[in-house]
Amino acid sequence: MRALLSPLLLRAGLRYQTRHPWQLLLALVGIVMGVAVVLAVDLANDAAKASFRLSAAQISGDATHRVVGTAGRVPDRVYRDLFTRAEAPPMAPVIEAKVRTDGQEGPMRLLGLDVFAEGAFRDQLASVVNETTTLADWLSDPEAAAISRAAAARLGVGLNDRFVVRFEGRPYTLRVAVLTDEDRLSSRDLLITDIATAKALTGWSDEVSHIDLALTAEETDRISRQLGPGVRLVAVDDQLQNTAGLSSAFELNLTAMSLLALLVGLFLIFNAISFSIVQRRRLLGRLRALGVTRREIGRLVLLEAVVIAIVGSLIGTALGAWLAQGLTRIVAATISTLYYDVAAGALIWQPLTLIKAWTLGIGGTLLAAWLPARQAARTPPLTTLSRAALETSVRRRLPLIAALGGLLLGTGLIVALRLPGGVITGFVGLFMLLVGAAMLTPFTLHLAHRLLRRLPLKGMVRMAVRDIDRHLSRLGTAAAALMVALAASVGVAVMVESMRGAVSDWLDALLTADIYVAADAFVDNAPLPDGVLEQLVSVSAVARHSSYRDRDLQIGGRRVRLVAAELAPQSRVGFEFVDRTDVDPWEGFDHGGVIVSEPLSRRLGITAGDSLSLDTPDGPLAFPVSGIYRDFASEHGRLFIDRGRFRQIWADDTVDSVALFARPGDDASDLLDAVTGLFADRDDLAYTAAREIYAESMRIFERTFRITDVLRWLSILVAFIGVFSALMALQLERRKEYAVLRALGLTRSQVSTLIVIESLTLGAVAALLAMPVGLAMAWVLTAAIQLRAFGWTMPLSFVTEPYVVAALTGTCAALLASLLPAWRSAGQNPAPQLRED
Amino acid sequence: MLTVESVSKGYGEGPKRQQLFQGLGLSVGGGEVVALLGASGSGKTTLLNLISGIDEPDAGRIQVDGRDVHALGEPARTLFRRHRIGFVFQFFNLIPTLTVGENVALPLELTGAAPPDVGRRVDELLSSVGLTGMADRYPETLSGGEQQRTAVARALAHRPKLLLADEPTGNLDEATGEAVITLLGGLARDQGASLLVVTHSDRVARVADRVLRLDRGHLLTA
Repeated sequence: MRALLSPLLLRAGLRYQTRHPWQLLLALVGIVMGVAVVLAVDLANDAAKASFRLSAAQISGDATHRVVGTAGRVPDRVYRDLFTRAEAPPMAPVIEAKVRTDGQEGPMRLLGLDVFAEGAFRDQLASVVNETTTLADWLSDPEAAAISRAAAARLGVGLNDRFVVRFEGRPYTLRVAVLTDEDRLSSRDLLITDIATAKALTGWSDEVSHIDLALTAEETDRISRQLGPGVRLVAVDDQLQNTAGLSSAFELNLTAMSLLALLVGLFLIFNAISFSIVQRRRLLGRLRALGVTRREIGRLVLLEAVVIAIVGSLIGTALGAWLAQGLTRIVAATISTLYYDVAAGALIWQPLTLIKAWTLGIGGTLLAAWLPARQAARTPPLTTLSRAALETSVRRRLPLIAALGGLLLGTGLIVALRLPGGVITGFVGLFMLLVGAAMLTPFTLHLAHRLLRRLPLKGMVRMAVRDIDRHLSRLGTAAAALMVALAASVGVAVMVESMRGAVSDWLDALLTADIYVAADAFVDNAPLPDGVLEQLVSVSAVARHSSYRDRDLQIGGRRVRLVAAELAPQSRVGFEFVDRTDVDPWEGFDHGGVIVSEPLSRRLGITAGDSLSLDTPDGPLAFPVSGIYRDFASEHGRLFIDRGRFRQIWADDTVDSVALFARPGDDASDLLDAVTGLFADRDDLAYTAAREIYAESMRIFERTFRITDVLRWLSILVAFIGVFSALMALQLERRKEYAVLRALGLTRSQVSTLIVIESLTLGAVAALLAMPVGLAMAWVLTAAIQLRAFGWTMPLSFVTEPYVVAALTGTCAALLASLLPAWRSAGQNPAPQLRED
Repeated sequence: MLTVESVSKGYGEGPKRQQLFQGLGLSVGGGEVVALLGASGSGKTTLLNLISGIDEPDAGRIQVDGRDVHALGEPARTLFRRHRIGFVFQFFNLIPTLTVGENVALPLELTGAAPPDVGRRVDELLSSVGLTGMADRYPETLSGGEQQRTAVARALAHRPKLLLADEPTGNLDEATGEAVITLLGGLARDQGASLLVVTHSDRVARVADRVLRLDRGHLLTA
């Protein structure tokens, strides 16, 4: 420390901070909130992902590899063949399926395991069997199952109670033979049975879902060569990666919002430190006269900032941990809705998470303090520059700062929208745009003043408008922080609105049928029972129908959904093609081509007219791509193939769901009555009206973006505190000025009015500028970041609500922020201020 | 100790340019106390700023303790000021966030004095300016005279060769001002430091070995 700076100088600097608590608070709030939000989002993401991964890892156990069917399940003979070979590595057959229970909203995951083969893979799962039941019972009782206490509570069952599960509509009774603690089964919906029970339950008498293996590098090559057609070896790590990738869209969204809060926080730090430099110009000038060098002054400012950053980061860590508890619940709920049912796990404190938050907190503070430190170092010795002269010099520099800001903003747009690169490039461009716009804010305030002073304003309003221009060095950064928060709010809201509009339009166009019929539940992809399709299409009220069969495929190591469809003309109308050849895409589809979703086409880099190789039971086959359609169903991608062609290749004649169209002029409810009447004696079919699917889809959408809203308001809160603190600090600095005004005859309420109008003007200008900046931000978010992250394109919505909210939030925040300073200034006794030098 | 040779200084450009002095010369010997009188705006403070290296002359040379101040770069000039010059200002210019003791210790710490030496020197100086027992008080709790005595102690702390005082009594009542200037002159002589004091006051000038008057850009012996 001695070599860096005189301890006395540092002490003088730190005491200055503690003697100006409002400024200190302003800087601390910036750091605390920035660190807290970044940390909270990371912790919440980590906790949810850990639950997610633990659940997936528990199922895969110690397996290094897995034999999977290229077109679905793995025949038992593959297992027998591998197991009976010489030097067979440890292996275990596994049945994994989704089943439904009457007492639970979502599906449960059935895991059928062979206890004798399990030793090398899932000790933990195998050992639970021995705790409350004997191995003999487990193997001999075809109803024995293990579930978590949480699942049992939700099903309303206890040990040895029976409950019914349904697979593809078929009921099967199980008995709770083992109750496990939730930490053992991180996924609350896990249901474990012996493999024989799982086979009886699913009806897969001679198939398993996959075979787990523990392989060395040499064994991997050998086993790969031994496998016949229709199956292949995949690494478990790749599969886990794929599973974790499910939530990447969600994580990206959260990370973007947390970085935004940090950016707003950085503005507050910059504001606070700049403010303290401007206020200390005389003091710094005295130090320079005493022989303190420029470098020492610069170091003093940076060291002060580091000390504040350390304190702020520590408080931010505590606040972040508290905030993370709430966020984890929201994240877990959203992931449960979108993907798997995961519990809101305990927070996981990884060193890297803390290092990241503190690096951002301390590094960000140093970055924010760098410019003020340079400014401080340039302070001439014994400076006698008056406030008026200082403000004049600030105003003189405004056009240059604004020009640089405009340049940065324009460059940001080019970087985000035109430069090649991934999501990171998009975010770099977005942040350049925001910082550029922030640099434009003080100049906009100055222009607003010039514009307003031409108006016939009177009295306090005229004084307040003039005051804003007189205090640009203080108010400019506070206005910039508020503008950035409001612009982010507008940008994110317009992006969400655009997406909501696009998803809504897409669902509207796609859900053209009157009723959708599926086996028990729409989400299971369970085949309709035999004969149901034929019966449905024979109903006289059914004018037309479309039928669907879903199947998961691997393309390029990622899972995609293949939809085999027989589409009525009304269903085809719902597809919006974003890329096609001269030939009608449906003509290509009818002749054996595939229609690929936009996200998948972007991920694979294919366009209409290309061909796409798919794994089939007969090995890889190339399919012509006849069109690319807009699709928001999955960021991983879907592709449609004609069901007739699918039947030929995959030898699968089943159907998962059917869309029914009523006759023209008939009511959908009549059709529903006719269909439900036909199947009155069946309870294994689910009937859903298009509007219900629409409502459920939109409900999931809203839930996904709920956390975005939370973080958006958090950013505005940070900016509000920034404006409040800036006004408080300014009020302290202008005590003497207010005292003189009071001595000259201004009433208390006039002084208050002056401060309130000043703040309102600042809020209004920040909100006005936030509107175009927010729109530009929404443009970058939709046209660059969403596109690069998920492959979605969507038109930008021109909705008024986000702009109205920004205008109201900006002015209300500014009004609220001014109340206390106004009240304090009005209540102050002018006499002592007038006596002071 | 101090030699000012043919120094010129003016402000402004073109027709608005105001020439403060041209070809000014001055010499102050080691341990000598010189008072500089002059009307407001005559350039007295500017001359002090030029001597200390805070401001730069348009022409001429200023030597302090044999060193050409303006031949040095800005950082070296700052360090030169730190080691060789002591300042006393009209408005005290104490650091409000440091105590009286810490204010006096600041130049010593900046020049790298060892902590025990700093403590001893601070005690010695506070005693000589009559502020014993006030080391832990903040400047704002002191009277104007006490603040200026703290400033005198601070200016002398690192034993500078040259002391510059700019209206050191301008913000004090007559009696206090006289006490402060007597103290400053006495301590400067005790330490063998040269003192150049800018003042309006004839009373202050009485403690000087030599009195000069700056009048329309020329230095005259009063």
